[in-house]
Amino acid sequence: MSRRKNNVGTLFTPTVLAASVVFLLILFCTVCAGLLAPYDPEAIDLSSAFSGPSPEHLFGADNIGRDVLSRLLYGGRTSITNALLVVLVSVLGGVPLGLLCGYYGGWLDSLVMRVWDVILSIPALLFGFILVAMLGRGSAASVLALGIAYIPMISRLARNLTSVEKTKTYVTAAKSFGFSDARIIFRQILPNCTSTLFAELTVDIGYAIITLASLSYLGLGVQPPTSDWGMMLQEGLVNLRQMPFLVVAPGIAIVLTIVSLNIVSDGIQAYLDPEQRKLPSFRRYEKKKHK
Amino acid sequence: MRYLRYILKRLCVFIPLFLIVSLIVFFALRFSGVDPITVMLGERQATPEVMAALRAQYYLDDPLISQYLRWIGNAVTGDFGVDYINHQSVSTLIAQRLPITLGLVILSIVIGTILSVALGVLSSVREGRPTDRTISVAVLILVSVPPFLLAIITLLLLSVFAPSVGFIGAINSVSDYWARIPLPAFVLSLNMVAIVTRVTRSSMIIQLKSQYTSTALAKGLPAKMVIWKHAFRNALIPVLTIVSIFAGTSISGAVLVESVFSLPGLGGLLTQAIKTNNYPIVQSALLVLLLVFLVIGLVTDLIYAAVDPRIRKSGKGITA
Repeated sequence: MSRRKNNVGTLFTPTVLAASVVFLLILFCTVCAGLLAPYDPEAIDLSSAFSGPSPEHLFGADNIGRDVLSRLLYGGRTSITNALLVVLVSVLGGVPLGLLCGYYGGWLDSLVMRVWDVILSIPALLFGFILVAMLGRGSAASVLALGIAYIPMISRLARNLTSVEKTKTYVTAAKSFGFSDARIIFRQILPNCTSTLFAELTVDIGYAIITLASLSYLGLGVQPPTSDWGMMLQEGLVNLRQMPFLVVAPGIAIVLTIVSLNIVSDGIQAYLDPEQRKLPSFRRYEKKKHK
Repeated sequence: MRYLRYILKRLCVFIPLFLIVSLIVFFALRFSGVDPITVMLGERQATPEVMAALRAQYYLDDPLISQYLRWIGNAVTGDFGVDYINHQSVSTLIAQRLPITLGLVILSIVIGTILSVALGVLSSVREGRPTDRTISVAVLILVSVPPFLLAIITLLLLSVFAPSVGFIGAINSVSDYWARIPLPAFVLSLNMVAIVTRVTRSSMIIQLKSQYTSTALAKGLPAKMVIWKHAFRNALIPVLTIVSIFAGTSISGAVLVESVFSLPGLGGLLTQAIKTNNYPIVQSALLVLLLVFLVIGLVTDLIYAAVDPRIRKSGKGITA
């Protein structure tokens, strides 16, 4: 990513900083689930079923005595990894297509954008249903389905950014050096779009977590024995009266992850928009100038 | 007259869009790896003759395009054929469940619009004061909570505070319907409330700060009239835009909320059919849901145009 000179204003306002710390903490805990989890998430221990928090089971145990903390960590690993994969699929498919459409324009551009118009007129979850019905159920299929469902949004954004960037002087300069189109698109234009794309992608990770959880909740996403937060919600709902915490725990995990992602994304967008950018006090600005 | 022409123009976009969407639904399912015959037979053994008879019954040997034309042609007249497994009429299945989904979606749009306009206007009038702050924080939290999680939280609260409220069972009468629909509809509307409140608030603040508002107040008009008749009318356009976008997405939320509240709606039918690869139900239920979605988009566009004359003249809608 090309580093923007950041003399005035900062991306890392206290709120954004706090949110990033929370998200990174969640990411760390779930990625290292194998090291941190005290139990095997699938280990059944009927003697401790529905036991409340105790030194052995910090968050208690569920209806068949599986450790809730371990399940939360492993479930989070599935949820977050799958969400990242969804975004990866949509970036790999959407960004190059958007760049090409934006740079060359013409019939390719009009064709692709009309197709996206139609697909975007279908709500993402319903489009996900169509693709899941087509590709089959399961983790890989639902990731692929959502990844494809997100391609139109990403590629449209990349296309709009590119069509603005390509009129700028540096592109003309690059052309006059005789750079190839590929080099201009991927080495010159793409780096200038990354920060905006990144802001969009952070939100998309949140949406992907929600939609994947919805699909698993409905039984169309990950299949047992693998489990994610959506699956935990569904299992918890069955035992709602005995142990509400089984629903509360994955619920809080999802909300915390998404709130932190949304705040980070809002922060990036506010930073990219000069009108919204949080400026330091005038005195600090003057001080910096004189350094 | 001009409005009539606008309606016609929008219909000219609507019909091809619907046909393209139906093409996507149909062909996506036909390219799935599962052979319809294995779905129909299930665990049973079959002779080639039985398989041939089944293929003939469902016209599976015809070219895909003529299968599509037969399906969409019948669908327009309200006949969706019979399903692969229980050989029930898909139209009946859908007709039984559509009122629930439709009621849920429409009621949630109505509740959502009223609630968010009230909250947004209140928040803008009290800008910066505790009321505004409280609403803003509540809204920020609501935005981040997926609708089905909100539904689960509602169930949780009910199980603690009102354990006698039941959610299981069939809906047999109109009074059952009205007893069971409003709460899920309210829950479904919350996500929309969160976003529309934000838009209403910022749109109203711009209007309240403009000079015509000061003039109206200086003339001695009562504040209520200035807020609702002057500022709100002008603030309405961006609000309607966002309402029409969210009206559509509440359909996918409805599928999830139905499942949490165990309402026998289209969502349950659809997910069950996807799990069993029962394609006649999948494609027809999807088609109906998408039709509802497109019609809601059309209706909001028409309302939008009725409010804002500029849209009528340009002939463009907001949704597609």
